[in-house]
Amino acid sequence: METQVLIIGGGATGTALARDLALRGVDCILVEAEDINAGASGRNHGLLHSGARYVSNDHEAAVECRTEGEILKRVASRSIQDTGGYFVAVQGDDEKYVADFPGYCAASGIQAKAIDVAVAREREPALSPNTIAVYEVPDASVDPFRLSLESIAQARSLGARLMRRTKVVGFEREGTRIRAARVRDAVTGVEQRIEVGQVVNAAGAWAREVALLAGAPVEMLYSAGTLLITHGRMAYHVINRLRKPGNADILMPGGTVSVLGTTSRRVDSLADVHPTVAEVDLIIAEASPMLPALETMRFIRAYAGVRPLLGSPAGSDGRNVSRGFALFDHEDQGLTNFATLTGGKLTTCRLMAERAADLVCRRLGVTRPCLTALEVIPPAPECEWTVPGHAPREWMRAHGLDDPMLCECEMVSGSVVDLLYASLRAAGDMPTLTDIGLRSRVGKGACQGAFCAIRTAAHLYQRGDFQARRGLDEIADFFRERWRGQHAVLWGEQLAQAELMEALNCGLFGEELRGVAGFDTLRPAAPGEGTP
Amino acid sequence: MSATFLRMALLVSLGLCALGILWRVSTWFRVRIGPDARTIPLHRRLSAAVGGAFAALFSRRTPGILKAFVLDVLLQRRLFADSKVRWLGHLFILAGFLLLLVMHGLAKLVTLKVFPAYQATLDPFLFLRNLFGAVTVLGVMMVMGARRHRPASSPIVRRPGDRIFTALLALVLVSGFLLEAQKVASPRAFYRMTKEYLDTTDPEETLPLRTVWAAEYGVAFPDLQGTPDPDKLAEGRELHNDACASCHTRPTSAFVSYPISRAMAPVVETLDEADAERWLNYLHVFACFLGLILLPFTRFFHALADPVSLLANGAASTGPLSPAARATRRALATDACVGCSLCDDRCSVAPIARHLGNPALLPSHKLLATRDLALHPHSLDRVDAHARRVAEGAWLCTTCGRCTERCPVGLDLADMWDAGKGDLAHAGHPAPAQWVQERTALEWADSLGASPGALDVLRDAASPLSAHRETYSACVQCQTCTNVCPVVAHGGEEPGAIDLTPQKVMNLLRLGMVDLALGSRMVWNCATCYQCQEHCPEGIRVTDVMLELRGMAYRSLGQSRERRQPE
Amino acid sequence: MTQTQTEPKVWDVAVVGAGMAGMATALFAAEQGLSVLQIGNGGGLLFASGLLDLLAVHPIASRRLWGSPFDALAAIRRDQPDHPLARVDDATMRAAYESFTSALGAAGLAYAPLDDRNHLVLTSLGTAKPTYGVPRTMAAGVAAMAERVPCLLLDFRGLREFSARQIVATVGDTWPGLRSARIEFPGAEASSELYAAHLARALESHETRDKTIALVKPLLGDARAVGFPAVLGLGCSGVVHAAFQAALGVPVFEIPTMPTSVPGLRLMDALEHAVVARGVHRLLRGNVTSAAFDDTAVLSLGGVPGGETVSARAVVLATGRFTGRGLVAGQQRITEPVLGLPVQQPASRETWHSRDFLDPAGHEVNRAGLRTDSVFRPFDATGRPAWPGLFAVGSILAGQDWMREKCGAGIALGTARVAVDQIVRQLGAR
Repeated sequence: METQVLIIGGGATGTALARDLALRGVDCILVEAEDINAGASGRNHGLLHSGARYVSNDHEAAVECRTEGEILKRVASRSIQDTGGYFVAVQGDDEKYVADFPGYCAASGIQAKAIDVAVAREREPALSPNTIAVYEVPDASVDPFRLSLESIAQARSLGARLMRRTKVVGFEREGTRIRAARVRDAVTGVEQRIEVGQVVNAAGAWAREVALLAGAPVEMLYSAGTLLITHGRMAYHVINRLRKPGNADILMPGGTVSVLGTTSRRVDSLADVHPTVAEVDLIIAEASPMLPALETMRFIRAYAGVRPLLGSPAGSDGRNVSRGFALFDHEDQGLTNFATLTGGKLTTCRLMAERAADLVCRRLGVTRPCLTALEVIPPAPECEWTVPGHAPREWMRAHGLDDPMLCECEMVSGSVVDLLYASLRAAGDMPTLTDIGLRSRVGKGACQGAFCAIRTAAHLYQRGDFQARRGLDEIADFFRERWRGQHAVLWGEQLAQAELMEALNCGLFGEELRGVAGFDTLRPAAPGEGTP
Repeated sequence: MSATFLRMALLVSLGLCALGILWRVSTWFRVRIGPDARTIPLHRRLSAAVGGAFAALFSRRTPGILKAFVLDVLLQRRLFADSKVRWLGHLFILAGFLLLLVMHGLAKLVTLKVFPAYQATLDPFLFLRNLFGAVTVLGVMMVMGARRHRPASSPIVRRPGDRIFTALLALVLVSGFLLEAQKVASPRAFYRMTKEYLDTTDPEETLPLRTVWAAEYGVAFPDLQGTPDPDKLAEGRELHNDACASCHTRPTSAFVSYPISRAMAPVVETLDEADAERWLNYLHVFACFLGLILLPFTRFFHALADPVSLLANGAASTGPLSPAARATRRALATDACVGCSLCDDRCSVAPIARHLGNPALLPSHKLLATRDLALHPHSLDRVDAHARRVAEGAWLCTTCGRCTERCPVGLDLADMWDAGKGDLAHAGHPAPAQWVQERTALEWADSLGASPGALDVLRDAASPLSAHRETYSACVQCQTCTNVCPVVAHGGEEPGAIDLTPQKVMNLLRLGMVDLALGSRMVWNCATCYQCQEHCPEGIRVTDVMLELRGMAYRSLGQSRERRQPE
Repeated sequence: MTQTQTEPKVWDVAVVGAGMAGMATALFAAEQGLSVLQIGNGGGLLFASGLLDLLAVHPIASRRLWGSPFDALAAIRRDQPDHPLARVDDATMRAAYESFTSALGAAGLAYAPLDDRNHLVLTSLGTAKPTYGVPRTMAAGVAAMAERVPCLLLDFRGLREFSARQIVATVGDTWPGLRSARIEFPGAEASSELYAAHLARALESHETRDKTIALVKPLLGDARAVGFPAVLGLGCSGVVHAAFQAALGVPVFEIPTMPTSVPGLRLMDALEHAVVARGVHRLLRGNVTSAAFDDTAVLSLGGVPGGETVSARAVVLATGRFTGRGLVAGQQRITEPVLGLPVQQPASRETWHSRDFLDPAGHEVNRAGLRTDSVFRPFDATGRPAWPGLFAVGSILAGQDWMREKCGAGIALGTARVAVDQIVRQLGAR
């Protein structure tokens, strides 16, 4: 195989870069070790920053967010809900900051309109009675999955290639150039070689590892952030705490749920980053003064993403480190066709891609201009199912006789699963339950897969898509993936839900016993003996 | 006031009352409630009623009917179970007023026959009259006090005559007490008696007697204030015993009027001069007459209609009623309703009536609306706010039957609502379950989305259950609600009969997509059997939410429909 | 109303809860001639599978499956003396299962004869559930699977959680003669989704049954047994099952499904029938709001019109765990909401759950619960029985993991039996 540009990492930046290059007519392959947005791109608030969050400590980032937010609202409008945002201060918050806030915003060109507290509380009844000030800003919510999926879909329609579950395991270097990359299929283990013109390392938190493989180390820090998902939607606007950036200061309306976060914890290793009980409790305790209902809220899930950060004041928790992005050309390390694109935030992913694409094109001698800020991303039927509430509406529209609901919590029907399965198959993939979960709302509701994973597996078995014990393996994988985010929020009603899940899947189906000899072969032990 | 005049007036008012009653009774056969009643001629209804009454009276059911009359109508056992205060108040009014009427109002006809020694001014009659009056007043106060605790959203239903009648009743009681007080304290009344029995009105000559009456009988002689002269008192007592004592008990036993008379003492002469006694007497008597005339047009007419209604029930219990008899029973029921509002308190849709701020959902109000529509079939032709409220009231009924179960006078309200719905449909207000099917749930949702403000009614509703996150937060998605739902169980025979299951309706609401649920078949086909709610292991109020949705849907979808199809 | 007059002023036993353990307690106590009041509805049984497991896995960390539940019991007595099952001797356990299944049999829900073995029952997922008591409608499946006879597994289009094809795909390699087929459920051709309880009720009509059988017959082929999802009748499953067997001419068996499952509903109905037939007085809507213990226990009830108090000489708490609200987990601590009894639990939420859902060692939170003495009298804060007549039975007890040990029914029946025996002794001694 060969390609003009190899992009490593299928997050928001990698997919945006693939789209950018494809629009400029540059051939590229995107390799992704897991799946689209499997890293931090899929584990964030889904906030399209107006920039107001950064007005006090990072003017440049604030302005960048403002302009990029406006562009994305234009070109990716289907992925964005223009909810508007509130900045809310409650009694005890720093009043000086509250007073300075409108000035900061004005300085960054961000509209911040003071709202009467009573009016704000009428629009957002979840706000505390102790609210003292509210400003409205043009924040919006963005569905990062839809954004990335549609970006890569457009890129592929223009000839770009995507290789999921494909990990870069090495580079062939020739002088100052990388000649080829060796990649391994994570499922089959088969390795192959891709001859490359240029390489862009957009592996997010894993960019350090990739750069090391190329022999061009970069300094990076990791900051893990945990977020919580509520059982029902708490608010209609993005609710920001009106104070200096800190823990648990944003509540996002995520369609049918709300997302609350985040924390910032320095981690040294990327292995097994998961939300902790302490973080969950901290988030609730920190945000409750602004949103008192959180104290009795049912949470269905938590998740943790790792932000790659650049530059490091020693001993910092990572929050004071710039959220700006960096594009390393590695030329001082003697490499002329390798670049690392890292840092940044979801809101600026298009701009990051544009900068990287400019570099790559300059190196390739391509002069076509960037079109990503002008061309609207076209819709694709397999990319719209991550949007909460979309599946039930479409199901009711078609309401086919043979379209059973597989996921009741989020109301995803068989036809959606079929469509996603077919689209993945068409691209030559062997789709898993987790793949379908990533591209839809399956498993994202209250039951966290307890019922829907089983129904979806039965559906796919019945269609002949699953063979032998594969469906059972995938149910187990799916549960493991969902559980990572569940165990820290299990109390109250969600613990009752989890208990039911365990009663069903362990108590009755004995899924934890799979692999035990007598169990798998359906040969019971005789009395007087146990099966070790 | 001449006796002849009074008698004439009494006869006239009795006659008018009788005519009123006759007219009201005639409505039992004339008013046509329900489509099936429209074609039945008057004579068929009359003969069915007579036949039914005979069948009931001479059946083995008679003891049962009697028992029901005593327990339900006289003793009000259901009211007793509901509110002891209201029950006692009602009993006080009933007993106090009836006894006053018999002992006092009909003294010549009844009391004198039974107690030939009856004198209005003698104990125990003097005491009893006050007692009965006081009991009546107390009863009224208790009932009104109990009513003040009613929420504004479920007011007591009233006929136009009710307020006037209540005012007249108060007037009768108040004027009666005042009249008695005036008579006690009045020197003029004293002289009238001395003139009649001692043939003198000379103040000096009657001084000893006056001393006694001033000291012991409360007559307010302006010259006899202060401590009485003991000699005159002794002298007077002798005369008193001879001439007065046989007819007069000391008025202190008039424990209401007497204190009033003492309070009136300073002005009693002025009142005498103004001929107060006569005017009060007129007031008292004519208020009674007027009340009598008005009685058939108030809800107190139920006293007469109830026994007949019970008889009709008795007839119904011996076999199925003919359509003619059913029509008559419905008309009768609108009169037999005592307006106690026990039905309203137990009505399944009472919470929705509250949310929507529409008391027309409540049975006692609906009963009158049903009758009104029957009397004026074109009154709802114009689709205005009133017509909408009435139609909403009728169609949001879940036919749970609790009102019928609950009615203290045993009205078959379920049958009444059926009939009323038929009339409404005829008057151009068809069943929502019917017109909701004109579009799919999604089309309804689109139409709501397309009309700004269409969903405002949902937000305006005072804290609806369906809008609360907490309502669904315990759901574990076990689908028990759907598994026990008889509507889903039998919906598989016809394509599209079930668009959403109960679980899906709940999930749509939890997901904030109420617009998709409002026009769904499930919401409107729900049998409101409460199986889902009773079986839910997590105690989620599935049926209550469904009912609430209907209330919201009726209004929001109805508005959307009106916009689309202007009448 | 008339019942109120015959109610004793002081009940011998008040059972709080109507899941498997509550029902077993009420049943056993009534059989002993005690007057029994049962408070609460049968929500917990909605999630039952109909299988009466006893004990199949121990220790869970090494996932050791036991062929005989009584061997496993002996092992648990040796390894975990604080385990609730360690306090139930074999004779008591056998007596509990015998009287429980015979009561169910009398109520129209027959179980296969009990032996000393754990049987494997094929599930809708394609796994096997080890269990002791097997409903008669499922028994033929146990035999068919053990001998690998050629079988036809059927399912109905629209029954979303059940794919016969899935079972064949999953276990077909070890069971060569297994085939699957999908049929339309008669009368539900217009439904995209079917619900087990509705099918079960529909199959109680001759007409639907005959139509179904007519659809199955041509598919029989060489099958020597036929498996269906567990929807063969609700109130009269015995009749429906027998009718299928007679018509098809081969053994017919049911395969348990996801909750809310028909066997669970059957169990609920049969148990309700059984306890009521034995004179148990049930307050379905009531819930205990407070309790005072003196010579007798006085329980205040909410959820009944006007409120009420009842007195009993013994009280048995059978309120279950988190799903049944017998235990309530706050953000930091687990409490017992009815009587406020102390709950044995991990030190902090950090260790409630393992990070792997399918961790063989299980989740620590599942071993939280009430500590009791050897006859299941729960301890108060001082570590002594809270009241001599107060018992706690079933899954609320600490030190067990019924979901992984496959001993849900075992704990319910065994602990109920021990508690009732003790109550009989205590009341007799008075």
